[in-house]
Amino acid sequence: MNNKIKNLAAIIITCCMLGTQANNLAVESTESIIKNPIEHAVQLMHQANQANEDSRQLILDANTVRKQLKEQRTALIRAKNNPQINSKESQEKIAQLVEKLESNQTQGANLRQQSKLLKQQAAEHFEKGFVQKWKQWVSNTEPLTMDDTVKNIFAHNAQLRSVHKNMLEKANTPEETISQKRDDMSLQVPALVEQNAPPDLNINAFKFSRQEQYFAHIEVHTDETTQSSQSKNVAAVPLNKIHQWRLMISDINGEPLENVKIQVEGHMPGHVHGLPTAPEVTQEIAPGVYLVDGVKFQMKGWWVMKFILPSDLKNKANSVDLNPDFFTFNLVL
Amino acid sequence: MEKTSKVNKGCNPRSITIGLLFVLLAACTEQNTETPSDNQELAKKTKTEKKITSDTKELYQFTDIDIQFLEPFLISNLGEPPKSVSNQYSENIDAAKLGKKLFFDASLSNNKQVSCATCHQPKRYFTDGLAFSKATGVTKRSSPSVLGAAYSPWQFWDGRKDSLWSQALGPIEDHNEYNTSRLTYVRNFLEKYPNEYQNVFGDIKLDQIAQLPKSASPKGNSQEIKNWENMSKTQQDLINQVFSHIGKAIMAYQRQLTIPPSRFDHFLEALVEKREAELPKLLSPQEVKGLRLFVGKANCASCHNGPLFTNYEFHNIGAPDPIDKPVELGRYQGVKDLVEDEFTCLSKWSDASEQDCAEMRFLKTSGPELVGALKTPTLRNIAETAPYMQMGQFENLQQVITHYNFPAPPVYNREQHPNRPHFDILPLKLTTQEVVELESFLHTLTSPLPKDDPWWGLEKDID
Ligand code: HEC
Ligand code: HEC
Repeated sequence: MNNKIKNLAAIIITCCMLGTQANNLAVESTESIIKNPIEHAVQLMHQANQANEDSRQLILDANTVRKQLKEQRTALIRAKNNPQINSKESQEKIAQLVEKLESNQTQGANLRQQSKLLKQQAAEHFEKGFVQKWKQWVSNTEPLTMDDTVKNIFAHNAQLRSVHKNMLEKANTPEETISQKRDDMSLQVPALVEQNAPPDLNINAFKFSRQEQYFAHIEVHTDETTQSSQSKNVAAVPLNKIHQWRLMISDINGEPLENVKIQVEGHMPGHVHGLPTAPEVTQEIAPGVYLVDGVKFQMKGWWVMKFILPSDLKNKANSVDLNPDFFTFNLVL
Repeated sequence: MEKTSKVNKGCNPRSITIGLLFVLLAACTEQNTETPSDNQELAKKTKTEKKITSDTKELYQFTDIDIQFLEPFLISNLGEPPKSVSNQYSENIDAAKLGKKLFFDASLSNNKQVSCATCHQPKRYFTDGLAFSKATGVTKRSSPSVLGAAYSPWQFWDGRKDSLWSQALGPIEDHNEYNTSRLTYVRNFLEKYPNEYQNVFGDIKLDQIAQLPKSASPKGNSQEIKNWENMSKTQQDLINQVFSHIGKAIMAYQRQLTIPPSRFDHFLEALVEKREAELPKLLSPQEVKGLRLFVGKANCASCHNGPLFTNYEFHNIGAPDPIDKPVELGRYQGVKDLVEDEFTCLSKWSDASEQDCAEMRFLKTSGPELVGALKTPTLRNIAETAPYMQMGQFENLQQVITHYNFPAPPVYNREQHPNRPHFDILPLKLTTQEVVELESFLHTLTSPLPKDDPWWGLEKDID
């Protein structure tokens, strides 16, 4: 255990507890002393989880306080109607409770924010360690895009799946989705789907699994036979062409996750349709490096790819968890 | 005012001249020296004309980004059909020539009257003008054009075939179409075209075929099936080998079919080459308005895009199911048929390695969006290929656009649908005027019939 880091984290957490606007810069400045980014990431993750747990506790407490406050207020009303009772005590109590409630809420929110930042940093450090460790297989660390040479800027705007006649009236018409008139176009082309992706969407090609027990990276796989036809841009996926990805998975210690069966899913949010093909993991080309074949995107826009791990993988408590862990990657192509 | 309505009448030579006139007018209204009978009248008239002129001008003004957006629709951008991995003869001209003969040869059908061209007539842009095609019987759907089919990864409305060669084998055995058995067709074919066959595909084992029964097929009537099952595996393979070669020749033929540029392409070319002055001669203001709607408010281009005006994807646009027919299961049934098909890319008769059959290996076999979804058809020559949709549900383009304008979602039939059908379109709320404009644009996609292109086989139609 690195004591310095532990102390630093303690400071951060106290800062939050005090309700000051704690800044995360403190953690970033320790970068120079990090020898093992993966280990460091794991520690950050622990701290993040602790902060999250603390935040949750504060919110729970706040709920209790809220209940007490309600009781006091009712008591106060009763007191006002009865001159025999001294309402002063009650008023003081109320003031105290309000203060506690506010402080709990601020602290809780700060801690939650802190936990989020720590998780982000954990992911960044893990990525660094991962790239070092898996040098041979990582050739692209950028988010995946679609090749710039792809001229096709169309995408169909299918936003409905099953509708009742009455609902149709409530759906907006394509005209309403027409993008704000662009200065450089006289054609009023309907809004392109990529605009549906929220601006702060995480499109990183490195991700922790949902249960934060594994870490994965995706990239387009090109071998000699396909290289010539593929784009030179290693981050680019082709349009409307079946191609392959590499999915690299490590456990929380940075060791490859070997020999597991992985299920592949994908869809376009806001489009209610899945992938045009059914991609599969066809091979484990090296320990923890899985070949995903049959990937195809028939349009630009926001896609979500999901890789589901077997449900019988051991979780942190070393017990069998029936909710399988999984990775989701957002792509804005 | 009067001029506006004339201009909007559509694209006849008159409106083109009027369009031109405006361009000239813009330049010379000032010098108009005609003696006015009524000065005020003239002033009013000139004002209106000026307004129309500038409106029209704006209509024909496209920015560089507009042009970049439209350019992918040019037919000249189509290029060669994608390489066929499963048919090594796909670019073989002798195979294509043989394929052309077969496409038009009715003598090999059961009643000696049916060929591919019965339902895919060149002069009708390879369609037949019917809601349900007719040969020895009536087919379940309407015949689509084969123009551009070589560019699609899937054939038929529901995509139940993964290549043109495999597709071509369907009609031959279909009792509503050629109504022949596999063995009968193969034998008659080899007797009629022995040299052509040998030239492309090599040896024929005619003597071995001679010993076989008169008819046999794994898909025919009970007698034919029985005969087929009584044949040895080697005999069956022999027939299947020739049968698949026949498909490959017909495919090679259809890959040679090209689409000449339409008025729309000439317009777009002029735009790309910045020959602005010519634009009003090529498309009328009404048609240009229609074009702007097509890629804009009407949202058609989101599915009907590229040089063939199709994305070759499967969608459910809710064309109403005829009440006397089973519901349209579309792609849902199509993938089921593909998995069972004897002649896919993955089959023994394909020239591809399994590795190369990516579309079949990663075929999507489930998903709610497959139910009732059909392949987006090309809109090239659409004005000439009525009736419309997979069962000719709409007689004319106005009905089609009216459907897109106020669509009724597909009816959910709990007994026949595996889940509530997907629905991929939204009401457009176009005005009556806009519907007319959109329709007039669709008419600009008609190519002239290429009488001198031997692949089209229009020779017989020129009298
Ligand atoms: C009796 C009429 C008839 C005959 C004969 C016929 N077809 Fe068709 N064709 C159709 C119909 C109907 C369809 C659509 C069927 C469906 O999708 O279920 C079709 C579909 C096709 C398609 C698919 C096009 C696309 O875009 O999906 C091709 C290609 C085709 N036919 C070629 C041929 C060839 C080649 C022959 C001769 C071997 C032939 N047809 C004979 C009626 C016919
Ligand atoms: C969601 C994708 C989609 C959109 C958007 C769309 N279409 Fe279609 N279109 C299709 C499909 C799929 C079919 C075949 C449906 C069927 O047969 O039931 C079709 C069929 C047609 C046909 C009949 C073609 C034939 O050969 O029978 C015409 C004409 C047509 N569309 C025009 C339009 C126009 C005009 C618009 C814009 C108002 C439009 N489409 C918008 C997917 C689309």
